[in-house]
Amino acid sequence: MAIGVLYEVLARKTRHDSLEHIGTVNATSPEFARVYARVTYDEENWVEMVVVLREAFIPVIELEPLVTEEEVRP
Amino acid sequence: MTEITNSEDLSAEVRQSLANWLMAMSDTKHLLGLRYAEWCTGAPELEADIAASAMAQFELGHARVLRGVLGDLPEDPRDETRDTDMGAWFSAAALDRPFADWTELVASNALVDALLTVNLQSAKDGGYRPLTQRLRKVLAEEEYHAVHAGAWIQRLAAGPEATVVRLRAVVDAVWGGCLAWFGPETGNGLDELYDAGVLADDAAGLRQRYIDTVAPAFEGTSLRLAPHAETDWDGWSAASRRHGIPAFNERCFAMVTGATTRAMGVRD
Repeated sequence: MAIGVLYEVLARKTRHDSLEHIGTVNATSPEFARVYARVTYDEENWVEMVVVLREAFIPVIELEPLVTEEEVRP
Repeated sequence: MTEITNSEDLSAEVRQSLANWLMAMSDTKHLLGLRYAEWCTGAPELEADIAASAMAQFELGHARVLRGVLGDLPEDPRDETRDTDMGAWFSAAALDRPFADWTELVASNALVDALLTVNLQSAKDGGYRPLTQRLRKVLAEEEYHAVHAGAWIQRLAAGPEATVVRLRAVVDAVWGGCLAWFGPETGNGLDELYDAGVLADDAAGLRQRYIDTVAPAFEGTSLRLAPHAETDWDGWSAASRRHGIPAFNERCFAMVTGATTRAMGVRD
C-alpha cells in the first residue's frame, strides 16, 4: 500500500507545445515526486516537466459521479 | 583549460594513469548498475523500483561510454585475465557484494554514485576532449540520482531509531572507502591527471569537492560524515583506487564477465 500522496505530472515536448497531463506518481515529498516523475515518464525528450499536488487542484466544475448514491442503494 | 584533442598529446605515464582512472570509473559504474538492478523489484515502493531500474540503466550506459574512451588508449589494461581474475577489476569495495537491504542501496546512491559524478565533473571541466565531449549528457542524467539519494537519506534518517542506527552504520562503512578513493598525498594517481590538464582538480581539491557535494544530503539529520577519516594506506592501489581486490560471489562474477553467455556461444 502506497503511503504517499498523488502528484499529477505534466510535460511538453517543445517550447511551442502546451503542458500536457502525462500521468501521476505517488510520493511522500516533492523531492520524491520530482525524481519519480523524471524516471517514470522518460519516453520523450521533454523540454519541461512539472509535478503538481493533486490536492492543490481547485475545482471549478466538479465531476459528476457516474452513479448516484440512490442508484447504488435504491 | 588547454584542450587535449587526442591521447597522443599525453605522455605514456599520464596515459597509464588515465587508463587506470577510466577503468576504476567504468568498473564501478558497471557494478553500481548491477547492484541497482538487483533491487529494481525490491524497493520500498513501486516508484522506487522504477527509479532503481532507471539508475541501473544509466550507470551501465555510462560504463559503456567510459570504456569507449578507455578502449582508444594503448595503455588500456583490460585483457583476458578479467574473465578469471577478480583482481583485474577496479570497482569500489562497497559494491563487492549485493546490497543486503535498502539502506545499503541508499548509502551507495548517496556516496559512491556521487563520488563518480564528482570525478566526471572534474573531467568535464578539464581539457581531454575525448572525455569532455561525452560527459555533458552523462552528467545531466546523473542529476536525478543525487535528488533520489538526498530524498531517501532524509526519509530514512527521519525513520524509526533502528533504521537510523542501521543507516548510520552503513554510511560510515561506505564513507571510508569513498574517501580512500582519492589516495594518499603522493602517489595517488590523480595529481598527474590534474598536472596534465585531464582533470580540473588535484586529488586534494577533488576530495574537498566531493565532501562539499555529498554533505548537503545529510543536513538536518543526526548523521555526520567525518571529513578527516584516518586511512591506513597499506594495501591501497593507485590503479584500482581501493584496498584489496573485489570479493564478488561466483554468480556476480559470471554476470559481469559474461561467462554464462559465453558458454552459450553468443559472446566472444
